[in-house]
Amino acid sequence: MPHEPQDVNAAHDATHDDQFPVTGDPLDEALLADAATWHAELPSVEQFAARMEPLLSSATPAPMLTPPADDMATDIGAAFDSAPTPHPTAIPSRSRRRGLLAIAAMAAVVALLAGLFQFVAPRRGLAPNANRPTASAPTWQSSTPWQSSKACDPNSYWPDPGNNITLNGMAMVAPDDGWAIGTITHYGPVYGETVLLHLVQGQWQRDPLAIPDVKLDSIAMVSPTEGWAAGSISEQNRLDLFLLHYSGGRWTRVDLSAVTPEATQIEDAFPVKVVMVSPGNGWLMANTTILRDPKNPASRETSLLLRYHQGAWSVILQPPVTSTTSFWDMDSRTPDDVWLVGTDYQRLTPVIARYAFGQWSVTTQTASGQLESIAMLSATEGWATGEAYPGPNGSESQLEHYDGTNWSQVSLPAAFAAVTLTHVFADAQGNVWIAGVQKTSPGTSGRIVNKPVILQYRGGQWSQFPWPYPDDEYLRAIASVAPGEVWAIANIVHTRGCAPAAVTGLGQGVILHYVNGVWSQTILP
Amino acid sequence: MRQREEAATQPEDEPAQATEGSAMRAQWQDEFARLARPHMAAVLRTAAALVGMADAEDAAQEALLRGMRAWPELRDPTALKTWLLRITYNVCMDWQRGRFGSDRHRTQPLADDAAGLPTPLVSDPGASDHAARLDLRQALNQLAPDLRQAVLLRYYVGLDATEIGIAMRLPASTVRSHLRRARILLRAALDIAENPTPTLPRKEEQ
Repeated sequence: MPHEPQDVNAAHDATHDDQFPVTGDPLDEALLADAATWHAELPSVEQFAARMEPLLSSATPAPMLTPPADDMATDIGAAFDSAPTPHPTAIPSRSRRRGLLAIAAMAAVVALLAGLFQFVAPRRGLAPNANRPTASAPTWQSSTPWQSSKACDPNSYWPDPGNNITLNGMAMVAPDDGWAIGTITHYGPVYGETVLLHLVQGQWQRDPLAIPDVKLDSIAMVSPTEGWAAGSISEQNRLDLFLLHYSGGRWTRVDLSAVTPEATQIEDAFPVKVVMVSPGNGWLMANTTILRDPKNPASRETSLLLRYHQGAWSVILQPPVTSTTSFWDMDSRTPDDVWLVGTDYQRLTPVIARYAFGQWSVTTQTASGQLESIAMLSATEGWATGEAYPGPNGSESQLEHYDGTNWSQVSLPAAFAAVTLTHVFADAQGNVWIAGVQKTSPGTSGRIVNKPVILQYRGGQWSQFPWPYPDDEYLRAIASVAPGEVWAIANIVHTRGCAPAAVTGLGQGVILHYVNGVWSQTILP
Repeated sequence: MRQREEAATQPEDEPAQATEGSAMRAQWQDEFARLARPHMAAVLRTAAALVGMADAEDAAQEALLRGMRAWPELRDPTALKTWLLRITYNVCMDWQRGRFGSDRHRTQPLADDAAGLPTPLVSDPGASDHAARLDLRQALNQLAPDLRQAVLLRYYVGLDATEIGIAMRLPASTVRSHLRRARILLRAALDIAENPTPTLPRKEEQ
């Protein structure tokens, strides 16, 4: 049992692990007093334990536990017996629940939605996996309302096992060639695992590179034969920047040790972003904790911007922002000009930083809020989304537009006022997209329903783009590859169970394709 | 091939040979439930420190359920606490990143209102104690995330530097330097002088 902060004897022990708290020190006394108040504000541990008891007890009937991954490694070739897929590696996957029931249920859902969205069943040529069994029962298929807590089916506490793939980024190089990347979210303490999926000859295949303890956040392809993928890796009890380069048909890790400052520690709450403007120019952004000079607290840096230029990555001096500023996103359309958006948490105000022609300019907006996503269409136009805090209890989405001179707030049509805006994207076709979520209140079922919402900017207006899939599927990237043809990635995250003890599963990555007015979906194995 | 068999069966069917496995898993599940109980407070407090009061129970629940499913990989009671804390930290980071795209990004300052929303302005006239508490929390919220996390996990959750290091993927020495740095900044923000008669010999320049 670790010693409690009030254990003053331990604090006096010079050989003890910790020097703090120091008895009689006013700051430590204040912290400990506030900690006691905070404990009193916490949810009761006893009540929490009571809530957990049925979830943890084997006496509660439930489907069998998912065995460890080792037991489930299979050759993906065996999973799809309808089309020969020359796949070089096995993919460990969780238990699959394919079957006629799943397919029938899925078809029923499809039919159900057809009336609403004029949805037509996927045709073979367009949906590569339409004729394959789904990798797991799509549990979102059930549209029966959840029962009240008392009558709730305990089995529903168990999220159906998905592939546990979290897709974080997508880059399409052609209508029939592209990449989706992400990580595997483990139940245990493992940080992640490389997931790189490649669309080739109409099929999505997992690249054989499988490095453990890696989260891939972002991918940028400069051509069908070259690209970069960035994220973070947990190694030697630290979190490092992780960068892959695609060339000659293979992904290889880029050694950044000579590029980044020593003891750069990546902040894992913030995604790493890589953007390529051309084969020879690009940018990479991460949030970090670097103390360049341990003796000088002012040398602390919290953001890292790398520039790719003339064949090499190098560090750009960090923007002149406070150490409490974190950047959520970055985008660029020109070799000499890059934008970062984030938040100054000291003032709780949005921050926009621009590095252009060797100089930083930082704009801190006055209204309380934060900016989380940015998409530039060119050097003179862009969009950003975030959150605004108009009052003590208020939180609403905000949308901003850059016109070449200023960033200014833009109001969405009233119909979208309650949509939580999560990301904004601009694709190579010049389309602008927003991914959002419409949250509905629990109602009698006790279950909060999250409905994905896609907005598209066309002809100077924002309108809703058709999205036929049910709840709990969250769009993570979207791009138009040709007029009327769109690829997207999403994560299905099941929220099951009965309020207030709803359980969130680890999710299931899916790849979506829209062409000729029809969406089709590939649930990854 | 097992997979082809699965393709033909109902999803709920359990192959006969797995019944023995089910009994084993049930035993592990109960074992986990028993062994995890003493650590629930730490998991819940860590979650509250990282994602805020409003989401603390949900995040803690997620962490414990993940732990239960991964328990067969560990099954070492002596390592369970830090193992659970690392899982809790992972869950909370996913929460902050926006939970697989279901929500906005968020970092969670130490909330000083029931709604759990950040409140940069001190607007509550309250008692002087209340005002002092808000000042302290404001000062905490002004720290960089890693420094704030170290303070919260040390003073509010009661973890030691080694445990914090395991949860945050940092060497314990880095955790201690975070704590030193955070205390300097907090003193400056709150205008608290150093204790003129320290009870510990000063180990190094602060």
